[in-house]
Amino acid sequence: MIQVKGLSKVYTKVRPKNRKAISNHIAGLKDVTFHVQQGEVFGLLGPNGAGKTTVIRHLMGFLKPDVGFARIKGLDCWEEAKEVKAFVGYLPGEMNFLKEMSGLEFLNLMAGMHGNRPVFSRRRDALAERLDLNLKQPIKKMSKGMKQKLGIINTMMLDAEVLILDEPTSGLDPLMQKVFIDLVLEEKDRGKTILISSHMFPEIERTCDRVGIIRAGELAAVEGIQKLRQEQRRTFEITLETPEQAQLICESGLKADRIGDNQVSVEIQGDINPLLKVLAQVQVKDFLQRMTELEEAFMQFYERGEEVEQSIISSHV
Amino acid sequence: MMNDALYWSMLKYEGKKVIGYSLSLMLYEWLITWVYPILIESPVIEDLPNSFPTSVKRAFGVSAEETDISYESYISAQLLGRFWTLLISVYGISASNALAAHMLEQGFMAYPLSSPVSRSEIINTQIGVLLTELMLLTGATVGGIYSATAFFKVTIDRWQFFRMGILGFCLSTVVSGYSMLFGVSLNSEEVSVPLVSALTVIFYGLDVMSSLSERFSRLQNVTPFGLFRPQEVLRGKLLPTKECLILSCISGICLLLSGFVFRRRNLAI
Repeated sequence: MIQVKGLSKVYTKVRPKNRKAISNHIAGLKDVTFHVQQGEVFGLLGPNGAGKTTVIRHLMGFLKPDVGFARIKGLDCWEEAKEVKAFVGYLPGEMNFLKEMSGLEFLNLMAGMHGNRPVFSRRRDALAERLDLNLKQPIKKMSKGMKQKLGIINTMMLDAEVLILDEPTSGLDPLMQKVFIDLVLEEKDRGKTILISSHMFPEIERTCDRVGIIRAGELAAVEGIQKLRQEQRRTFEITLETPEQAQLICESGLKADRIGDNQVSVEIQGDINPLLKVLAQVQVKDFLQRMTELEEAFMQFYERGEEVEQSIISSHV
Repeated sequence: MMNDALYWSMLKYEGKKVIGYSLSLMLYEWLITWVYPILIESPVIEDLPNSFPTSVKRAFGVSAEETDISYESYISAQLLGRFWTLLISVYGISASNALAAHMLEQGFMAYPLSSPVSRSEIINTQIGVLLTELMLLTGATVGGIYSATAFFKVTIDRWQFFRMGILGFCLSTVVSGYSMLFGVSLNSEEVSVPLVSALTVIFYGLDVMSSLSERFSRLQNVTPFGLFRPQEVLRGKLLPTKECLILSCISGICLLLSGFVFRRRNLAI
């Protein structure tokens, strides 16, 4: 459904501040390739400035690729942008509305631009009720979270086949984040193809089938969520009743480190059962997973990337 | 091709501004037309224009050759000769910036562009809204003069004012046209607005200089403001067909180029 192949983009600085600089080019994307199947939820995960939004801008036909292509349903996102948008719902990363409008006026404009189908107003009202947003309120009086809700209503009311969501839960409170995740899962059940970019692990973990980890404009890895969970290391911090019990865990053959008198940190790769067997012999006061599975996997990819970069720099020096 | 939903929404968005400018202009026209019959009855009125240097009279659109106390001469000096040209220029810059550069930089343009409406249709709609606003503003100017002169029983040749309105509209489309072109070409309204304002001030300054002295009269050929001579149109000395055509060609080229740039540009929104 969504196909990105060899996508590269170089931004040119018009007026380089440093005139002695060898190059005034900044790499936005380098040879990014991935595809999203119909009915799949795909997550683009990476920190700010990694290139997530640049990929999305190519998919929306805002940017022309220097090399490669982005296609949705076989249509080129730049050359056939108008046709592509007939079946795409888009949530931008920044909610920049015209302050002079009310929420309802904005949604009516967007419904009009999408052909004003009767389903739009039905879905709009249902979504507004679910997200608890007063649409008649002027946008200038809306908080960041309320604007985010308005953006989500605009994207979801169109009942599009493909949803492209850039940082969708930014500004939402935890309760509304949960409502949003439920909405995405419902759309997934209805067979929608969804691409979510985010640096928030829980929403990606709960909604996505596969994840692309993007780093400095390059796609570091594309993995299934289940595979990531199974293969990646997890770190647990365990507080025990006595220092002797902590020592017992350290001597059990697990990869464990003492981090306090009766506290240990245990790193597990894959199967968690060996840890559970050891824990059955001791009294556990506290048990904490340091990061979510996805967060751990993400950090590993980043650490690996940095190691590679360091080795390249060392070999050049 | 334009998009209806976007057109009406943008017209509503710009509505307050165009209504505010139009009503203020009409009110000003009513005020100066109300004063006119009182002024021409004053015994010193015929001598008053003679107390100004010829160059200043020319610059403000007052007949330099003979003492002219006609309404046409009066309104040229009070409004149309200088103040109105500046006002429609400022309005044109502000409106084209609001409809293009501001929406691109602020990011709102991402929403219309995410709909199944082509870039051509979007920029055509924005240009359509801009031209509608300019038409409303010049219409309000001419309408204000018609209504005020009818109310205060001042006799005018309405066709001359209608012609002047068309010429003013053509001039305002030129300023808005290059303003739109700069707006869609540059990445930032912080850059485009000062640039366009500076260019307009230069064009306006050249026109004022060309009016002040015969030595500089050729400067009026290098500024679009040089083609706008309301006093000559109103006194029936000039049928502004050629001027309207030249101004329309310049604005047409600017607006076509704006459309071309907008269609092909990378938009980081």
